[in-house]
Amino acid sequence: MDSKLASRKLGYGFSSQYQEIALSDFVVNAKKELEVVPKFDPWRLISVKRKKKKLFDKQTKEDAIKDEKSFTKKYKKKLQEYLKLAGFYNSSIDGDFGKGTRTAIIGWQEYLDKEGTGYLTKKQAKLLKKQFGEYLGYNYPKEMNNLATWDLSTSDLRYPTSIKLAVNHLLEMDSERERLRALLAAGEITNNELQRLWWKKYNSFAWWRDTQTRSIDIVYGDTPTFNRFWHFWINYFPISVDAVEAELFGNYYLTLRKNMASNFSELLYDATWHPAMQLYLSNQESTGPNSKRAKEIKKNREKKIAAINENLARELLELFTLTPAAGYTQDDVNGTAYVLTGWGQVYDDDVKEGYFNDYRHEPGAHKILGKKYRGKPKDKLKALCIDLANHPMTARHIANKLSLHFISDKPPEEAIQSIENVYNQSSGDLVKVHQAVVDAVIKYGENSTKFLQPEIWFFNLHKAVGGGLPLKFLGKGDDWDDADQTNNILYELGHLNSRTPQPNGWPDLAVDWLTPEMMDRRVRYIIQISDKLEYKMKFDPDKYAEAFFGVSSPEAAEVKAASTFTLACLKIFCHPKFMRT
Amino acid sequence: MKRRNFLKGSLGTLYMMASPNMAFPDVKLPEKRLLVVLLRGGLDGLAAVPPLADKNLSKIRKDVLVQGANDLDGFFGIHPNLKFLENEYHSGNAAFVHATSFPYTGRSHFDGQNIMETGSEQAYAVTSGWVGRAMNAAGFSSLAVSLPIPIILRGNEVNSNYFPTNFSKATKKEYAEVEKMWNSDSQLNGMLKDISSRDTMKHGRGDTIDLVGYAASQMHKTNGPRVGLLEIDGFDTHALQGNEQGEHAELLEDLDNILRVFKERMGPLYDDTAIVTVTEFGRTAFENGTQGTDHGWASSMILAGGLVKGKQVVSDWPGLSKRNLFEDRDLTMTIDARDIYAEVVKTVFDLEDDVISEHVFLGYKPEKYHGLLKKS
Repeated sequence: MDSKLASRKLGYGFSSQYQEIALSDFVVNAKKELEVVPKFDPWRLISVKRKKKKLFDKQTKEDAIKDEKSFTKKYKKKLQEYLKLAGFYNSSIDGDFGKGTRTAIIGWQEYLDKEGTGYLTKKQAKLLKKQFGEYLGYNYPKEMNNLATWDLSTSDLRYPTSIKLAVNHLLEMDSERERLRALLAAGEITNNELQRLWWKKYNSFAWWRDTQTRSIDIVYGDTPTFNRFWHFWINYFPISVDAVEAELFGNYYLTLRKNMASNFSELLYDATWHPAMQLYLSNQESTGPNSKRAKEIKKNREKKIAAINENLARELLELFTLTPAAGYTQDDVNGTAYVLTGWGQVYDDDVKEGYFNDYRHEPGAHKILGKKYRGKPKDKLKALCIDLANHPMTARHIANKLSLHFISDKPPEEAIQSIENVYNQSSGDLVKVHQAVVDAVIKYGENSTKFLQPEIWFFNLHKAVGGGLPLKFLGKGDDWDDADQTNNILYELGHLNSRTPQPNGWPDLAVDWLTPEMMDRRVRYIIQISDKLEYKMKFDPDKYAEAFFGVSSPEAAEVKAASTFTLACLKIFCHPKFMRT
Repeated sequence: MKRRNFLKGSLGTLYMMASPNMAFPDVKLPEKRLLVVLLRGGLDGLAAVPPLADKNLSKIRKDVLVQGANDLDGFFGIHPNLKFLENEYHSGNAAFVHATSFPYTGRSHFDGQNIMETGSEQAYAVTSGWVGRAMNAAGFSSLAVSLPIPIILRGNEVNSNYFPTNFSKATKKEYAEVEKMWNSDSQLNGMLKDISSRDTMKHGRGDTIDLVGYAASQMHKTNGPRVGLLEIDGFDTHALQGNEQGEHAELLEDLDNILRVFKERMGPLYDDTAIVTVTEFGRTAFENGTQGTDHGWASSMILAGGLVKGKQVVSDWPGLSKRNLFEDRDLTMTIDARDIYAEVVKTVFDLEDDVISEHVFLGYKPEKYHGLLKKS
């Protein structure tokens, strides 16, 4: 194996600029990268100041001043409305182009990466109308408009990475949803009205930010191996926008990330109590039969049943640790559910304790796998997480999942065992476990191949071409291509991370992805972006083919012989060798 | 909390199997049509087809107890949101089976779904699905409309699929070049064979009603699909399940509307059609602490279509008293779901009993047929 193949198996591949290094150096670097959690700051990677071009080369500021003289007041008002919708203008719609309007125009022009003159030519005014005029009919909220001109370098404020902010926003959205539902039920608003009012206050695109920020870090950042493991754990502890408010995604994923140089028991504990997981697997109202809440129900003769909800408890044992092969019983599931009662209380402001309160918590000791868990509620969950993490079946499960993801659909037993042994010896030290995966991939990966999941293929491709990620909500500058956006592309490719179909995550086997339709999508995506690669990115397929397949390889010759640029790209990115590692 | 976003319609996925007419012009096609509806998450049979005459029902359920269920046969009732199915039942076009399931009691979604799709008694023991194998045994080639092909349809030698996309199509030459490149690859070879000659399809993961409309229109084509598979998620109602209103009720209403639209669009072909539901397990008989239900065992099954001998609820009712429940909590299975599915594939694909036993249910011999389908 050379470092190129290793960088594909343990990262996201390489670009034309890649300098090959000795495999041993690659291994040393990769292992070092896994030792500490790198700071997650994707914004720094793209907030580069670029030289401004004139918006329309032949038209000067003087032309614009001349053109503006012919604009009627009514037209100027319209233009101000567009600027407001676009999120650049905050002042009154008066048809007077004062200082505020000029600043807004400059903002919009610079957003398009063009010279900010502050004056609009007729052509520019038309473009502004084309870009934002359509929105007038929808009355979208400012948040939505901001997204339309989403500049990632300043978007961190709208990506609530603090748990407290995220939960507060979630609660706000919950009450607004209830309010609107009540209005709808009472016949006071129509469904269309409801949608409009909802959009007016909130957008549901928070989870887009996850994909956007993660993709920037993956393609432009310098910790691809760490990020590949992050991808693994995100899918190991999946959540879905179908059940979890998108606001929670940012903090949840970062919480997983934060624990990636810790012990598995700590990762497990933090994933389990996190409101995102609590909501996803509906644990937050699970009620202990002897809890304060249960007593209240009895006393007030409420028509409620004081009982647990075993959803999270079952998956905690089945998917996150032991697996059914461990032979736990319904009583073990119940015991786990008792330990979990009381968590996920997002209405309780006590963040330090992890949104726990004892109102629904089942007091006393709970028996799980023959052991009794007693003491403070938080200690019970901690102790359980430690015991589950130290269980040999958990070690086996994690080693197996890692091998399936990084090595092959049928990983050699020795590979699984090598990771399992390190897990057991280190009591689940994730740095050591991840490093063991690096060793196993180098040792056993030579003779095995792995068909790539769509998301990994997609990022490998963009890494290969040196970027070109579709980052803007509304396409690039003056284009209006809704589909040209990372989330849309990943959806079309069948693998939009935040839409995990079930709590067992996205499938990892070729048989789940290798269908004509999915393969057709990959072909079509290359066609869709090849113009951009050719003209905007100036990607050189011949050069890349030499780097990828080898200078005098038949594959590189095939790429050179391709009659069109698109065909050359297809012969690289849809080549079986590129689709596997 | 499973929260269906009120901004979205009901989401489903459509899969279809048919003869890929371009590749196999002489292929044999069945005259009958089959729509399999996968209800992922575990349908609460006690809410869909509540046993009204079982006195224990109202004792063990409070918040999730369905009020206003209409009587079917003096014992069982039907959820008020299943209006179309209720009418179909009375006009002889729909039937129900109760306290049925696969013989799997592990309560895991993933093991359970694997078993309901593979038709095996062990999870992950085989990689093909019982519908795929049934088609295979009957000698029908297939084409599935899908993104990843669900396991239940796998097992056909020629499997293809399609699904709508916003990406524009490649040219013939581009497809040809990629195909050439994939020729010598054991997994990728032949993948694009049928892609370039297809119609562009506009529907997809989206409004399920549109999907069944599309399914019905495809089923009308001479060489169109004969088997459709519709997946509906969301039946895993652990919390705030609701009763005659609420989340579960909305799902049932969606299902009812979907089947109604399917019948309308099928027109006269509906007479030669069977619809059957599949779910991984039922839910606990008892309500849990979050006004929902947890993973259980037996559930109810819906059969509809012109091929169904309707107006009957087939059941060997096990009862809801605690000692009759499985492990004191779940409705006990008294009818093996495979018995019903065997009868369905026998009728739709004209398969012999021993073929069904050997190829479709891998050695399992259905105990008996319940007379749920009309003799052809």
